[in-house]
Amino acid sequence: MTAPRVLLAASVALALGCSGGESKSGAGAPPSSFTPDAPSPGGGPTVFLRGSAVGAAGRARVDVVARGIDRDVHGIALRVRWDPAELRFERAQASDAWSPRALRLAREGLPGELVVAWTEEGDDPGVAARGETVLGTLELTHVGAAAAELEIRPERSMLQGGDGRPLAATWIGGRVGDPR
Amino acid sequence: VLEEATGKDLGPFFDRWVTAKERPSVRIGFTPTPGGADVTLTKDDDLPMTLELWLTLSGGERVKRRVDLGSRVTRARLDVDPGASVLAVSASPRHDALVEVRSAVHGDLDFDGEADGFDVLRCARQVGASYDPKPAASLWEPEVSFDARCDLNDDLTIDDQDLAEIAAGFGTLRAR
Repeated sequence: MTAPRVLLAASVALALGCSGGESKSGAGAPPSSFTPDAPSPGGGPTVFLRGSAVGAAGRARVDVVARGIDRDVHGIALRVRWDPAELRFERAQASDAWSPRALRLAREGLPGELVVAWTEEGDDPGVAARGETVLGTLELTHVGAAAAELEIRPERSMLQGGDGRPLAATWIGGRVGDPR
Repeated sequence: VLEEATGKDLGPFFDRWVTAKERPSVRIGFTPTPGGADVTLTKDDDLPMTLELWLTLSGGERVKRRVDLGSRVTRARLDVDPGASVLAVSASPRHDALVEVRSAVHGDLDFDGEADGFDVLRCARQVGASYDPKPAASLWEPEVSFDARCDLNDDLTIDDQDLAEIAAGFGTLRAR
């Protein structure tokens, strides 16, 4: 491993959102439910959040899913907002769809605002997302009593193709903690 | 001769653009305000200069304003149409050849005052690229495939060191 790559790996490790620790408030509770804003996304190119069936007590595991994207996805920039009184960010993890060399960054820049960048580097091929493809997973703890919106900010979110041009997509968030 | 013809003291101009040995460096910071932005320009010397700033508005329009910089720190209130909000403040790219202009926010390459995924994606594709002056036939046909903003350490190559620099500032957001 070259020195620059070690430096990059260290920076990435610092930037990865991993606060760790289990939620005390969620001890003994089932995983929090997640309800997408549009239960059945249409047939066009879409990036949507989808609740994962697997989750620790009180946690919401939410997949970031791309579907119907015509060209390979070289990178994704994602901005997600929520009410920090209701949800606590735990971590974000890129999926195995990305190459081992891909850059994985996620940080809660402000309380309740997450910035994510998962991207291949250089000429590395992107991720095929014509069918449903999980690009990564967000994990949050439901610390409040009310349901909480997970809002994607489309003006600061983007899929990018290998030629550097944005790929059109509709962005769909959802809610954590709605009644099942 | 020029001073006699114009009747002006051109000493500062020659100090800045003719006899100076280093390219001036300017950092742009801003805070959006209703109908404008409070801009802070920080440079590394006291020589005067003028910059043309480009303000990108929420509707996609671009407003241009000239600002005179004197001392190391210059603060200016720049007004746009009432009701418009300023999303980004950058300098005219025509300055790039003579002035190193960067955002005051580390890792913010699009001058919106935040270091987020847009900045990372801009440069990730460029990893492996090196500056090649051969395609440039003249001053008016510069090499445009090399994104110099991604070359944070100015070594004419965009590599993991530059991405590490960008990653170090990643997630710096403007307070709501």
